[in-house]
Amino acid sequence: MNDLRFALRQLRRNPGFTAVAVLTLALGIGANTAIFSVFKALVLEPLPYRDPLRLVHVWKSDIAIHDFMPLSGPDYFDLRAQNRCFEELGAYATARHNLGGDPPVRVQGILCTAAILRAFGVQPALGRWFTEAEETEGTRRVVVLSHRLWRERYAGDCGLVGRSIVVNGEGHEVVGITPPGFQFLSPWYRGSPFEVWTPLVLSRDEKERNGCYYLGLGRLKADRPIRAALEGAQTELRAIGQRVAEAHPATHYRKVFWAYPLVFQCVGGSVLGRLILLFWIAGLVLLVACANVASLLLTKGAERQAEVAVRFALGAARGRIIRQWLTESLLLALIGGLAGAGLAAAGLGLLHGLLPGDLQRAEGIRIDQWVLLFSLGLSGVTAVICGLIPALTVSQTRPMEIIKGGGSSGGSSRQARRRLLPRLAVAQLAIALCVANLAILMLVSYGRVLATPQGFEEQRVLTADVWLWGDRYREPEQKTHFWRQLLEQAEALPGVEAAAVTTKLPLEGGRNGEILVEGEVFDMQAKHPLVEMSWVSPSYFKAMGIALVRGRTMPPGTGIGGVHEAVVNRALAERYWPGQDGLGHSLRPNSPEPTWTAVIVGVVENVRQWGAESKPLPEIYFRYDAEPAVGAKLIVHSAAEPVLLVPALQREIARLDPDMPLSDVRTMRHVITASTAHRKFVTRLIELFMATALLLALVGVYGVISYQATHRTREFGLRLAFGASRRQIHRLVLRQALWIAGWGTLFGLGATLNLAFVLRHLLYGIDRLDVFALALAVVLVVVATLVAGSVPAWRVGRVDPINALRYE
Amino acid sequence: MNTNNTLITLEGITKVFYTDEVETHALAGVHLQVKRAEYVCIAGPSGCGKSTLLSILGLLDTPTEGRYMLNGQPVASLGHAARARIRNREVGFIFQSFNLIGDLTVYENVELPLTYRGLNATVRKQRAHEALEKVGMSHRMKHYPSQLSGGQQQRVAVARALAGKPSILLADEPTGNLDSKNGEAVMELLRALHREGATICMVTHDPRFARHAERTVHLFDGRIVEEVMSEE
Repeated sequence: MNDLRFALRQLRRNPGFTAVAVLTLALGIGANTAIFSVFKALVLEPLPYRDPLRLVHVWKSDIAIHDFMPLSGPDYFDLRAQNRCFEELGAYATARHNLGGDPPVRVQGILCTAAILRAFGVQPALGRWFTEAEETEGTRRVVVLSHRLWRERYAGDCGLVGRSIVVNGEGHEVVGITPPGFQFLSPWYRGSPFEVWTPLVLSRDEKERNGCYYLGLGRLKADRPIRAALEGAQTELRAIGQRVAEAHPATHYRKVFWAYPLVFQCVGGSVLGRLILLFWIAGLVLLVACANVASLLLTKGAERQAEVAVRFALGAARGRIIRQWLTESLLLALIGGLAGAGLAAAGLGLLHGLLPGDLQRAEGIRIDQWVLLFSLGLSGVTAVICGLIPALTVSQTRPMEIIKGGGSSGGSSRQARRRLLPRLAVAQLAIALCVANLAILMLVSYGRVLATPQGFEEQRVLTADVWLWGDRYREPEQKTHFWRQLLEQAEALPGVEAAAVTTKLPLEGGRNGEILVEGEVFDMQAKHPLVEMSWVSPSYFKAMGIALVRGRTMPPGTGIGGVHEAVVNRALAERYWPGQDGLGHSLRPNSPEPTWTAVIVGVVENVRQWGAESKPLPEIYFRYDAEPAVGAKLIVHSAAEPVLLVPALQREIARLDPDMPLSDVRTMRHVITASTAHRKFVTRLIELFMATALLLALVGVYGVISYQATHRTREFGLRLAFGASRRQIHRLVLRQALWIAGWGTLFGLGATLNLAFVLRHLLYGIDRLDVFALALAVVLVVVATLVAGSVPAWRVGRVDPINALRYE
Repeated sequence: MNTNNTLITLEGITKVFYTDEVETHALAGVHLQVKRAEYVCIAGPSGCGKSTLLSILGLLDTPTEGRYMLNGQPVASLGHAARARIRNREVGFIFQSFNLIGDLTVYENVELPLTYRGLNATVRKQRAHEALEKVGMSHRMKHYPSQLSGGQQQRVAVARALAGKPSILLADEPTGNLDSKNGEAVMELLRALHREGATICMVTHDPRFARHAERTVHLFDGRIVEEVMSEE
């Protein structure tokens, strides 16, 4: 208690020292606290379901590797019939739903079997979930609404359950409302709030065996511990997969099923990797802060040698002195920790602004009691890291030397201090260099991602979602007709250069499959690369600004079924016909009974399909009217600012169908921004950490050079008295700074070379050992050191030799 | 000689400091006995080894060779923790520059050695009060050292040395930083304590104050060259 009281008094009596140390620690602990608050919300927070660790996704996969292929309807029925390990097992797909009313809106929805909503183990706030009977074609149409949608669109009307609302142009009976705060976490459409659930009617038809669009979700039975239940499920799913593969070798050769816990999948591996990287770097910033505060405590120890000597003389043992110093550093760290938590809380607004929109559970990022506990725990660790060296150093004080010398000598503790302070400065610079290099690499990567030509027009292309649900659009011709009319009307609008429809946008993934080209025959054992597939209107390439490399685009007209004309991208042409133009060749699906054949009439420039950083994959563009999809994207190429066209486009759609909302309206620039949002988030945070680490290192080096210069004042006075010029004294101090910078750079380079592996999956267009980035980091660190050293150098250069010679 | 009456026995104490390749013999075979309730003065020119001897007597340093018995217990080769414990219980220090801790009040300074002994707050309070009463500083208990004169600070330092009821008071030039009036007052305080039975060992090079002691031991080049009994 006395130690604590004394420590408090020490901090109060040295407000400057306390403020600098607390701020330094607050920056270090705050950075870690902020990252932990994100980590906790996204990864550690239990999922809001009953016994959430028993929830697993069921995927199809190659037998040799665990990959994530969706299930087909027949797969689902086989799994449901043969499994013994699931309490509930269902399948679902995501879809946009049009909600009728004024105004009509489009919401993200789920088509799911009845078991899906039961699997979560939560009860509806009102009404009920679906029943198996409602999964059948021809039964009455039912819908479950989210609590938020019910509250906001239907004013929380308790009488809504049992009434009918228009969903996708058809009346649906509302049978249930989800509980408040219920989140349907899915690896598909991450970050989108799902608002509507309708029953999924799956086909048992074997022709659908290869139509893999559904994700399995199951709850493991509670008769065994979770680990054993999961292992049992994996064994059973594998066995079911092998039986299905034996029965259907053409579609399931080497395919098995496997389970992946929802808790891992809802975070996403890449997000987890990036969070771990941010933890690494925040940890490095904290180490710089610790080294900085350790330096401060060491210099403070020099001032308090006499006090320590007296304590020794009065009978304090070394352990007692160490305890007292650790108490002081603990108190300092605790205040720093609280301040850090405050900084983190203040920075959460900024953090939320930087967060990618597709992060699930990001709304849970906040400073709560667990984050505070983490912050305090980290403060304890910090106290030991930054307090132990000064405590051990001060405990080496030789009391009689100090007492007799009036504090000017310090025996071994002074020697230790003189030895340790520059080393701590070197450590700070080395870590700062490491962080600076990581930040530069990430910054260059981000810049190169943004600068990479995407192969399409970014600024003047507008895109919007259109979903053709209901009886009006049941037949393919009806869908085609709608689009033909819409595109004609859109192209007639002033300022519109081209309008088109596509089933998917660049960078956002989509449908793919295996194909065969001429000369290849179906062989279930042969492995073929996946080819991306889009269904587009002929003007799509013009509207999207995708260059035609050779040939032509598909002509408008009929062509449903049979032989199609198709356009492929350059990657596909080069993959199958290197050195040739690829025109006139034909393609068909990798199937024993191909349902279509496509003749290549044109080759277009590559665009990336699965994100701004992924490699362009081979792709085939079919005509939209060959297989008109329910959900598609309107593409409009504008002569001017495309957003100005939105009201006119809404009017044109309303003329065709008053219940049809236009949703998800974006420019392609926004699509790129969304695709690079994760990288931007990480890069901005690392930049912030780099600035913090450099600032702390600069302050740390300044403190050490200042301390050393002050203790050499008498020597400088003597040198001046013997005729040294002020410039020579100046150089002496700067030489010390350069010595620190030199060793800091050397160790920093060593650490950088060893730590660069953490970035191996995160860099784009730059090598992790890029010489330019290393050189720039070194320049940054050396300049920071010289800036830090020039102030004390300038100060000692102005010293009066007479006063200096009197200095003790 | 009555052995039980002997508080300190030094036999053949030597102290050698090694710096780089130079050996400095600060003490060279010192033999000394201090009886209970005795007032001994250690005198000698600068660099003769007075402070080194006091450091060894106060267990702040260990001899290179020789035997040191304190209260009948060999203490020459004890470890850090044991020396700290004995120093806390048996030795009271009074320094030339007072060495009060500036961030502690007068009371807390006096209480400090008792804290290291692990005494409870009530006992600490009682003993600190007694010590401060004895030196006439109880009315300044809540003051900080910077609010006191040099003489008052040294009286507080004496109270701190007394609070632990040590076997011996070691005073290192206790008047060195005081004017003559305050110096006399502090010396008078030490004499009064001696009269009450305290054992005092004082280092000084001021012959005026050396006379206050019963016996003066003269050191030169690390050896005791003369022992003089006081005429008083």
